[in-house]
Amino acid sequence: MMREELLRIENLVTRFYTEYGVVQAVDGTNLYLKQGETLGIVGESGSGKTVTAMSIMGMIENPGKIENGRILLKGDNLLYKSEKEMREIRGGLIAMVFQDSLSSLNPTLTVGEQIGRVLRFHTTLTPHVIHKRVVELLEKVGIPEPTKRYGGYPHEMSGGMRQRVLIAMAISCNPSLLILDEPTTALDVTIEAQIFELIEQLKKHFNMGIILITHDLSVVANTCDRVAIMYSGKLIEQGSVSEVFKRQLHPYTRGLIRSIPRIDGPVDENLYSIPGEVPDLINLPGGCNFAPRCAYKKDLCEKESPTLAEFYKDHTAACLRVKEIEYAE
Amino acid sequence: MGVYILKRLILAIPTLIVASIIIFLLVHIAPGDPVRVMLGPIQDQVLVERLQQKLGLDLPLHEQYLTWLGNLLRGDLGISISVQRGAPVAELIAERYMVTLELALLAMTVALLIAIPTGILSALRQNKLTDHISRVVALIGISIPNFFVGILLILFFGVVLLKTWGAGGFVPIQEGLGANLQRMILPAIALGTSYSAIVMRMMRSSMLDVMSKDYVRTARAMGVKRWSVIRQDIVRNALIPVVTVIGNSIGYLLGGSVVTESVFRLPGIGNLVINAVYRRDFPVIQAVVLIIVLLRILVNLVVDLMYAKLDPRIQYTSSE
Repeated sequence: MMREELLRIENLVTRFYTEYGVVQAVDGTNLYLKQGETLGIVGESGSGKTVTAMSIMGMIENPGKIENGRILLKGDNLLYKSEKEMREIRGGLIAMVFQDSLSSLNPTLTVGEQIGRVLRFHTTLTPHVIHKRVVELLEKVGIPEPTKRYGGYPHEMSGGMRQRVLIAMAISCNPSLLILDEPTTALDVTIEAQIFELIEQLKKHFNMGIILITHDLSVVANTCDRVAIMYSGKLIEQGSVSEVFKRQLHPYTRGLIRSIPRIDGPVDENLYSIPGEVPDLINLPGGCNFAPRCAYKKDLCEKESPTLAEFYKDHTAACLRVKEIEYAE
Repeated sequence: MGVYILKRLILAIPTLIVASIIIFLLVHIAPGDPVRVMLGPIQDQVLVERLQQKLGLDLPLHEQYLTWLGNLLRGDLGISISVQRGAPVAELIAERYMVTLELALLAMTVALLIAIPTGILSALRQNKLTDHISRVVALIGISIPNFFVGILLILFFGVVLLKTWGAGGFVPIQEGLGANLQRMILPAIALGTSYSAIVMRMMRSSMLDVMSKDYVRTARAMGVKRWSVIRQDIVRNALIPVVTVIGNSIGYLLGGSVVTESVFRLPGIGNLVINAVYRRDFPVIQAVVLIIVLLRILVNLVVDLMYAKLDPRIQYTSSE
């Protein structure tokens, strides 16, 4: 089945003009996502995953600025939209679910009111119909006794239930693109599995494209079709999940995969960690951002900044030494 | 809820008893004797002793206290010794309290009408011109003592514009609401401005705090309209801590504002208590201060109940 392209990001540059200097939060990112596909964006804190998502949402606020690039949703450049148009797109065509479900819900509004007002702003439904729809949505995301829960407050629910409420809110207007920013970080593993099962169901049901932001590669392996790895504001590797887990082209990705604990590994083995620290996004070293921590770096790496290049079908990486490293192994 | 209120009221009893002891001791230990004040230039020792005996001031302190407490429990606040000799204290207070209550409510209304909108505006336009102006004005408002504002108002309305009502004085509500309000509005402004500055600053910082909350971001990410985000997400949650400040301010205001009442010649409770102190009118001082304590306790209870109304996370159960 040929899937239609839903989202394409070209050469996105987002900077923050802070009093300490200019932060290169996202630096020339290229991404695409097809309908019904799940893309995992992986990276450590500060790697630019959330800023990329917020750029798509049009929610970069002062002192942040999108300086360059195109964000095409079904071919339509979102960067040309007015704030009013973006407000209709947010919650309508694109919806986003955030990390901490307790702080992401208004403590003084009932769950029903919070979902209901999203419908109120995006549809012309009457209050009565909205009420019915909200109860249906609560039921759809697996909340027991939805009629009773409608009038409940967020603090009366468990973390998993609250995350379901946020998902219900996000899918209330049948978005084409759903962005999930570490949706299960605050949840325990069994609940996490349930949430991902729910997301999978909803994705099939609505044929949504999903961007899943996470720092957990095992989650990516289980839920995503494709994966994009970010490091210090740059996209450094992108490909189908099977490809990237089979062979990692970038030394950073290689380090990430090596640092996943293996159940069949030796018991007394220390977990691998990548030496060094994430570079300061204000004073970037120049050349490849990963060079200071890279075991394979050469003089050239500190001078020339690598760009994404396709090495295998639908598998790109931004590293000058991909070929040499591959043969070295 | 009912049980909670009852519990709080029962807990108020020991507070009131302790307060009554402190008030009583302070009044009696403080230098100055009402009898000597009453007698003025005629300081005859025999006369002094006779009067002291008549007023029960010669008894040991604990006996005097118990007599006073016993009378209080029967609802008898005593008789004024010197402020208005022979008048029942209860009547004196009832008369004056209407003035203080009206002034307090009007001043708070003035304060909130100024403070809440400017606080909201200031936070929404953080670090812009509107914000800077309102913050500077608030700073001035807090810094200027309200008697000075009062004097300026009198100067402007009473002296420059020659309005009769600009010179202060009091007209009871019974003699016409319009005339009453005319006299009350200047003192209400004088008193209200300083409180408005406090409330405005609290509102602003509370708003800024809420604006950085995740649920505000969620609401925006769901395409909720800006005005609705401000109203339902930001202001609604920002008001919760501000209610404490408002409650506290009302508590202060109900204690009577001696200075504002004197500047505008209003016969309020503040005026009464100051007079009573000058003339060592023990029964009046004791009764007034005790009533202020009682009102303060009630205001605190109301504030706590308001919390539960505003914040669904707070629930008062009988176990608390």
